Amino acid sequence: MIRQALRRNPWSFLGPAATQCLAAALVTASLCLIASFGGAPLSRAQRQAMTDSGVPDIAVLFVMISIYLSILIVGVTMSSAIRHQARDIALVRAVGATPARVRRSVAAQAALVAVPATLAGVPLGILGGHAWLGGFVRHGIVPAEVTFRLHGGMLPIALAVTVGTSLLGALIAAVRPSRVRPAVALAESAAPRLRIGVARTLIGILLVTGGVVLSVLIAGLDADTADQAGFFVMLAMCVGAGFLGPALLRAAAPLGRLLGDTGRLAADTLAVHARALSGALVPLTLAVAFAAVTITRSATTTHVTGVPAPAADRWLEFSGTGAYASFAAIAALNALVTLILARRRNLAVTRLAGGTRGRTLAVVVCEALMVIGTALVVAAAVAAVTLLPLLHATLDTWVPWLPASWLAAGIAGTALLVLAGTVLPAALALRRPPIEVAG
Amino acid sequence: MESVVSLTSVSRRYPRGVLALREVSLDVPAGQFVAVMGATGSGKSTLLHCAAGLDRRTGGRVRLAGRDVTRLREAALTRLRRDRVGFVFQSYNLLSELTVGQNVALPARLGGRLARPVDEVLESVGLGGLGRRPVGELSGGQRQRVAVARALVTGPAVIFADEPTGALDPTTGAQILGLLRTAADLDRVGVLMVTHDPVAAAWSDRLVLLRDGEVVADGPTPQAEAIAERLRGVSAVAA
Repeated sequence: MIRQALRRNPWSFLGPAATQCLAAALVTASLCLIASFGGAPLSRAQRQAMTDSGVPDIAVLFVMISIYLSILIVGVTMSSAIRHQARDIALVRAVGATPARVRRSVAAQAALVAVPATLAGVPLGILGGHAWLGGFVRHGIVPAEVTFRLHGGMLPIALAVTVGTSLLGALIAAVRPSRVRPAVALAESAAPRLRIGVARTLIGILLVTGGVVLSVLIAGLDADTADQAGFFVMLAMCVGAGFLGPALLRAAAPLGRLLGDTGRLAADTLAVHARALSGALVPLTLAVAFAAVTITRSATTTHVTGVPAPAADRWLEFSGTGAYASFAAIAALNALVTLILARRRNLAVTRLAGGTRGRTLAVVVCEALMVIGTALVVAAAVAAVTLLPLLHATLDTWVPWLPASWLAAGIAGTALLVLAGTVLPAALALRRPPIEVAG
Repeated sequence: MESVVSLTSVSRRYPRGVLALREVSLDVPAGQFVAVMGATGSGKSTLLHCAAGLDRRTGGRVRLAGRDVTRLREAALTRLRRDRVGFVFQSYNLLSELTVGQNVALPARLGGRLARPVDEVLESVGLGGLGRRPVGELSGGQRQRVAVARALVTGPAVIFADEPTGALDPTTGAQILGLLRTAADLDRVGVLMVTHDPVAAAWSDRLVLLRDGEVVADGPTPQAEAIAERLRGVSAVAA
């Protein structure tokens, strides 16, 4: 079953493999930074200066963020890949596979994808870490004596993170299809469940509330602690938003009705795909919120104090954020592509029902617009909750400041990403005659 | 009377040189129910696809609902299909993510116009009151009724049916065929149905037999037993 599933749906595992590879690279790169800083042959004064500058602490923070992000994003992509297999799982259950056997084979699948992806990601991370360290030296953040060193634990740590998370994500996604009676599972895979679980909503609300409370607490702390805790506020809120994703998207769906008949069709469809789309919403929100917080904070600081931050500091912040935001953006992209590919047949049916290629594509564009809108609103809310207390703690202001051109660029970037992940694969899928696809 | 479907010496050659249709000519007047039969590979599905503008013929001329579709561009052809043609497939081809009512209203969502209210059409195919049910919860027979309702809602000139009863039991299948028969008799819709089932074909007015991409018989539909007999004759010659 494993090999069959992999061979039959090579596309659906490309996404998890890509995110696992990037996660391994990110973890490796940040681990190598720590090793390079720690192992550099420095004089006592130089080492003291470096420790005082806080750079080694930042490297540790990079490692932590990388690991947390990897767990979150690899888990989400892996579980959505398994969710696409619900029908196959129901079928093998129907012909007599026990739930335990299904779980074993799902776990084996996850490992089979994760191990080679990680092995490919580690060398990529070594290259990336090398370039990253070069930037540190070039900007004078660390002395030139700091040379690139490999971290002894990078392979086991990267493997532990990616394989462990993949297994967890896959097994969680397989719980329901492997446990329910096959007949129910088959019926469900034909007609996806529309109801959003109470537990899901509760966990989401809990996480978002936790984020807000933490954020309020931070506002009263000193600047440094607030800075480091800010990340966890953002993480809690983004995961919470992920749990609430289906509900949020379904709430956004009625807005599509403003876009005419095509929009109404898109809205009806979106409400059903809300669950699968929320797999794209989490990384998308993370990427946008991450970038928004870093950029707005830097811009506001410059605006309030009147002095731009030193170039070295700006580089340090932006390089880290750039790495995380692109990682999350790639994960979002692949979640969207996976969903469109899974819907090829439905696109063909829409064509058969009388939708021209342009019309059918317009439905996908409308859906994408709703996803973009939701992601931007949620990301703005997450960024605001994270950022405002930080601004208050460090600059004593509640008002963020961002140049309009940056804001426009951010919105355009998000829109471009979502459109590339939906409209492009849909346009490719629509090139085949519909009767060949739907039959 | 104007034909709703008109094929003149239509051929279809596939890229590897296989000739699926050889100079087939066929006229379907409004209100006529035509069944096309033949062995697997005889070209009956290709005939339906070419007639419906789902596939491009490589030779000859196809008129659909009064328009020459031979030179029609893809978008214009799709709009013609949306407004004047209905489809019923063996695999239903409904959007599983939408409700019954939303599926029937699909042509309107795609820019077309509904000739009759959705509820009225649902009532007429025996699905009154089920408009808000998700399609995924329906039985096969009910799904095919949704497909028939979607085909009828635009007030089409012609309905193409590709093995509409292939996935259904005889009783349920008969109900679907009854709906097509009514559409032909009361709404004057031309129906072109491809089937391998003599019992299904017996609902038609006219029977066309295909072999190796050529029409070998075309005449009034006899009784089911006689159809089976003729079909065996055609297949035996082919083998």
